[in-house]
Amino acid sequence: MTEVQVSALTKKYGAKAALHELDLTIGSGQFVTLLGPSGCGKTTTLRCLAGLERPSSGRIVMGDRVLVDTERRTFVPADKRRVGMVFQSYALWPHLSVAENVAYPLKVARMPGRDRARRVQEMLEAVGLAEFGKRPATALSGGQQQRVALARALAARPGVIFYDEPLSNLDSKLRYQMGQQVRSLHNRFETTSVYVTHDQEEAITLSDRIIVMSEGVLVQSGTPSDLFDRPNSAYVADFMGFQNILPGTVTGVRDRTAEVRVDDTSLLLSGTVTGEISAGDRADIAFRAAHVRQCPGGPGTGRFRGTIERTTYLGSAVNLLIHADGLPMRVRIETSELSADEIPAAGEEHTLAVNPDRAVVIPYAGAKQAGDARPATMTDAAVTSR
Amino acid sequence: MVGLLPFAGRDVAVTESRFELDRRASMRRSVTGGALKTTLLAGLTLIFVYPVAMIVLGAFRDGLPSDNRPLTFGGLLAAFESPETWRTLWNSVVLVVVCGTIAVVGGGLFAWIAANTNVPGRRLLTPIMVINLFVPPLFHTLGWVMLGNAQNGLLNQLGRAFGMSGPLMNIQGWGGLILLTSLGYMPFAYLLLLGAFKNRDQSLDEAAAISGAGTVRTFFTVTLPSVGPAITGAGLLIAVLVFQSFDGPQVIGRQAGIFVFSTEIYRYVRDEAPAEYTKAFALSLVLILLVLLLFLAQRWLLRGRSFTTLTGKTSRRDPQELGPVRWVLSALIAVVVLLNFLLPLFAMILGSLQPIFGVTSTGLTLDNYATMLTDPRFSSSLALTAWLAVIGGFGSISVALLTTYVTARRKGFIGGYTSFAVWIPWALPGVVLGLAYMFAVLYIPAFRALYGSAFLMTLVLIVATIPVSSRIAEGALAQLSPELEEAGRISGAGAGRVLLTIVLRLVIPSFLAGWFLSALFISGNLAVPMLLAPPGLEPVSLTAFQQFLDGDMAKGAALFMIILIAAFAVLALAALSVKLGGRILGRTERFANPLSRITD
Repeated sequence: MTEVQVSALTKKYGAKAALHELDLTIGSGQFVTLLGPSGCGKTTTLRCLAGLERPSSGRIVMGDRVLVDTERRTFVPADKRRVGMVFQSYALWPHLSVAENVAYPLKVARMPGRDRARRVQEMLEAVGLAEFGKRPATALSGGQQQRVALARALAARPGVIFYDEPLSNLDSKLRYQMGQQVRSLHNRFETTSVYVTHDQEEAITLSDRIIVMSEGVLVQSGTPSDLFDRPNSAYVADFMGFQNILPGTVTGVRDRTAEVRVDDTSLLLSGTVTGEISAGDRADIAFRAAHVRQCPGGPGTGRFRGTIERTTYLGSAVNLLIHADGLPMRVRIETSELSADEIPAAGEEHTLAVNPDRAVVIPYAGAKQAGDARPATMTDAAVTSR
Repeated sequence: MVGLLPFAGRDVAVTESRFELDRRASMRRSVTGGALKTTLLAGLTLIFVYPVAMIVLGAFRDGLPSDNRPLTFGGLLAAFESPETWRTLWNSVVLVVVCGTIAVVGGGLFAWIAANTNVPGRRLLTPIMVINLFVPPLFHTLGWVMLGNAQNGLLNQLGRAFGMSGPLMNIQGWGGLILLTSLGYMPFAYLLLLGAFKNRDQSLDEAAAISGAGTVRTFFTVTLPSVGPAITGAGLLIAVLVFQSFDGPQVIGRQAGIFVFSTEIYRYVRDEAPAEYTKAFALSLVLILLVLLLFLAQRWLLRGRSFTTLTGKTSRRDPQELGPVRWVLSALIAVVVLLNFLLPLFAMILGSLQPIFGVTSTGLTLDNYATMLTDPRFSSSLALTAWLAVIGGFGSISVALLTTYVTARRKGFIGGYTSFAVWIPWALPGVVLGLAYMFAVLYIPAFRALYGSAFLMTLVLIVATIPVSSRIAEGALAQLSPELEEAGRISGAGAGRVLLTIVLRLVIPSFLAGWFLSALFISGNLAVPMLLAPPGLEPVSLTAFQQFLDGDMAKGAALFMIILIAAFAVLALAALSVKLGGRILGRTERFANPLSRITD
């Protein structure tokens, strides 16, 4: 088990910086995911940690060893770091058999032949490929190849394993199974894992901690539920699937709940505060389509009346696009809450309430780092279901 | 010893002695890395870039480039004022335009036949074209001299036997030069265009047919325009190659007084007394600039386009059903096979078996072969060629793999400079290369000893073969994903071990193929030995050419046949060992078809 600490990590390609002064700590034995859209710097971070990329400046410490310290001109290359890595393309060597692929890191580490054979067999059993040792590596299916890659990465029992979007080449059914296998191997061999993906569901189901990145900086880090329920920027909220993110001004704060008047409307909504905030501040209020309920009473704080523009029937739920005071809003009503034959139809007017415990009020300061990456969720696109 | 280093506001226990070791190792690595980089850059500069400077220097120097004489525009001006230069330019342009057009049209037609139609015999095309591409042009040209020279060419003898008074043909004239040059570059055009025809969407043709267009109309209004960019790209590349051609113009054109750039440069250097180096360099510079212009035009035309053009739909459609016209096309295939392969080979074989070439009354013997192997003049030439081919071929594919690898894996200055350096031999024909290197070694006193040495000839042959071997190296490395190497590094293998156990292991088939083909090309190269062969060390190409000039074609043919037989033997041996090796290992080599880049 190994702790990884990164400070002021910067990577420039020419004049363009892919990483800006990144600081992060990955606890020993943790499964940490770097999450973000393509080009956010997550893969660059991983490759710097693995030693495949040379940082422009910064410091990386793994366990009790300084791997990179640009000020003191130290750079330990990948082959001296004793880490494992699973690549997106599997990267199995086509001239070697399955067992030879898994044995390669052990051979390099000069493990004696008998121990090596035993270890290879143990690893192949762990990934369920015990019978496949003699096959040429490239004769296996995609999922099997990725399991060989997993066995190879774990074979030398490295303290840290890096995963570079390992599931993105697999079909969705296999992806879930493989994800579970990755996590169970992490638990079994008690490694520290750093996992890169752009898929938030994958990140939420696998990780102990998620680090969301954007344009080379860390935007938010926390447990999956922290990120899923308490995003601290509009950027993260959008990435985590908040369909409604409305700009406004805070009118009052009580305990951890704040009231926000949405810009250019009479809407007054309340939500849970994620950062320091006081009355008069500019803030976004964000809530999921599913956190809105039908509500028989009249308008008031946390409620609004709107006209249904479009209805999308999903079977177990109905997605509604609603215009309230000129604002388009996405609402998802579970059919279990509706009486028989009652499907809200376009043109109808309804009163709806936003659950204040589930909505979040995000101060603008929190969104500062993400820059102008204000989400474009206000488009008239189909309402996505999360 | 455990020390405490401040880290992100906290203290972290870091083993200080371990850090010291890592820091020293980092410094060692950066010193080694810097030294390697410097060596690479210096090597590339010395071998590829610096000699070209000689041409520029030579064109402006009033005398030899190595002389300490003032610079002048005199040479260039004289070149422009000389009517010979303009005649040479005219000849070259005629050759480029006429032969380029025939080669591209013919190559394109055959590519279309092979890829899209049901013409009988189309499956013969690719193998024939590949063989043609890799049999050095000199073999082909000399085969045709044996067939078509006015005095005792085999075809002319046949004509006389049928009672013709004059010769049936004289290969040593404009007609012959155009025929051979066109035929010689047709395989290039064919292979460049085959991919375009294979990958194009045939439903385009079907749509035209449904609209009521006939086969011919469809071909000209839909099929051809759909591969337009590929055709212009191939056309310009062929133009560059024809511009640089030396063997054909030297063997065939000279006798008829037709000089093109490369032969004119050679004439200035070797046939004029005293040698007119300034004129030769001026002409070389003009040639390089024209080639550069063509390359830029090709770049510009193909900007943002891939060579394979249009939808990459892989749905294999049935070949286009052609009517009776397909028999005409079949006949065309037969003609090309005959002209480009069977006839010259037949002439070589027959010629090599006749004691005196063209005299049929004396019957056929193996005497020429016996002479080749026993007469020290010939056997030493064969032995020299074998050494040149084996060492030069090895050098060529090694350099090509190394430089292609650097270009593929290193972005930035190192990669850019490397790719620029190895591009130079593309732009410089053999004669100009020879000239450049000759003065490159004369210019630096320490290198003067190399002048007239076998080492220099080998080096220039390696450089001249780089365009061929680079193609194979590119094909091999394109299949090698960088992640395969990264996986090796992560597994703890150092750079050297990764190179040895992963990269080299995976490119071995391509390496061997590249070695073989480069060796074949080197053994057939005429231009470089003509300028650089040390006295008494004449490779086969030069000896055979000399035999041809002296009228003893039988011996020249025997020399070439021995080379061809040797090449064939190597190939057969390789095929056998692959088959046996595959059986022993019990698995097929899924990786790398070394020729895929060329034939796809």
